[in-house]
Amino acid sequence: MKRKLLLIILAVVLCFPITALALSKSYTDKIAEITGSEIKENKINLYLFHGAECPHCEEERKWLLQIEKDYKDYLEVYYFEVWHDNDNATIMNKVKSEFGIIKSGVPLTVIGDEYFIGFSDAIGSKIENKIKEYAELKNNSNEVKIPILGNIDMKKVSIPLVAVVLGFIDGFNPCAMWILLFLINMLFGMNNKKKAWILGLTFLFISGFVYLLSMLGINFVLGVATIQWMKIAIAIFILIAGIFSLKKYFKIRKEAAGCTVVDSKKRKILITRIRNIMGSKSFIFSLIGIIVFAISVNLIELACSLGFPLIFTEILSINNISGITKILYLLIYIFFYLIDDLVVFAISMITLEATGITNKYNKLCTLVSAIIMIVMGLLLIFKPDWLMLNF
Amino acid sequence: MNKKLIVISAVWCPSCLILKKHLKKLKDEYNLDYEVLDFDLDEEEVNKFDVGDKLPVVIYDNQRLIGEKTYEELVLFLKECGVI
Repeated sequence: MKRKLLLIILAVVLCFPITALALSKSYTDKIAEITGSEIKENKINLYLFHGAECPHCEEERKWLLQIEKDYKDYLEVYYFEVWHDNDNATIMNKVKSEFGIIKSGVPLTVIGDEYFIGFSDAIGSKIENKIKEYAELKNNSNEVKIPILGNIDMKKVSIPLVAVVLGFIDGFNPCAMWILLFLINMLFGMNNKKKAWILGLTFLFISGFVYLLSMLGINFVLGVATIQWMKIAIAIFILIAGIFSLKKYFKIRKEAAGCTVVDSKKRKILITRIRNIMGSKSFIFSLIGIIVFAISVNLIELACSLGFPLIFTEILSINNISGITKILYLLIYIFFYLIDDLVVFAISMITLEATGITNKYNKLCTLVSAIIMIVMGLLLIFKPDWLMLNF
Repeated sequence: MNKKLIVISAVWCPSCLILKKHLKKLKDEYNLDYEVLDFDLDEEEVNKFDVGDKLPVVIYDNQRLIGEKTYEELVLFLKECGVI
């Protein structure tokens, strides 16, 4: 029954993009009027504002030569030298006002209604991805025909699939599970079962919400971090987290499976806090208490599994996923992150007996997490374009 | 030395919950008698057994079964101890 339910949820999630996210962003040239350039039929205009002596501009110009060849059927590139040409500098200032860009510096690349400041391999990948995204409006090469479901854009299916897999593995991180189990035991003591359900679900909902906000925060930082070394620093962080995880696996692989007793002082403080919250005669106090408790616990425990949220938000960033689509993908990730907790909570509350998920697979989970983090870290450093999920 | 079967577990430990199910089954099948000590609530009692950092722990006399075990492994241990 549980397996069937899980399969149905998985099917719904995977079919979700076909119905809800099928609308691609249409191509609109936001600055053709300012630059006075021609909009040719079936062609995308790319504008590069550059300085003659700027090394990153030189790098992008060389890169664009190849891109122009690769996408000659779709792309028209316009170059504006702005350090020596005052007219071009004026045009660039108008373009910056149009987009509300405060940041200075070149190269500035504009395509459709998106702009990119600076140049690096990652930015190059994003620009190329944007070209492909617009080009696909005329050439839906990513679509595959599946019986019953019809045409499916593989790119849009693959990101939710990544969200499901990464979220699910991240959810098996045992950091916060013991708190939930203790909470469930305290909820058993409550006479009012309805209130017990509300408190438990509030704890889980707030946990998911804090995780969502944290991931949005990370995503924001990644969006600002256009500088190459910052991207590399994040990738190195993921790589180091993976190496630590691998080290942990080799340490625990010969140990008996079971629960490891850690940090007695911290555990006692948390247990006392849950008891105080549950012991309150006022339900409102208990509810507020559980919200504050869930926020604080999840912010602390976030450090325990920062690698996976970083990987997923970086994948969203590389694939230029933004707005409501980004939120939807993050929600899919968080739903699968929470699914083991939800199952444990629901079964425990229905059967009125605490249920535990075996710790036997913890070692395997540590190894899988370590491998994913190391591979992703290396890809982000050396081959970020491989993470653009366009088959 | 203690000749009673002692089980040290914690409410926050999933492996302890799995052991609890095995023990319940054994209680029905072999009329097994045992005492459960909570790692957090019965701290004073638990400290006497010098438990390490892995739970659950099943103790009989000077023999110990540490960590999450299958039903068969638990039965084998109890048979070796002569408890069942």
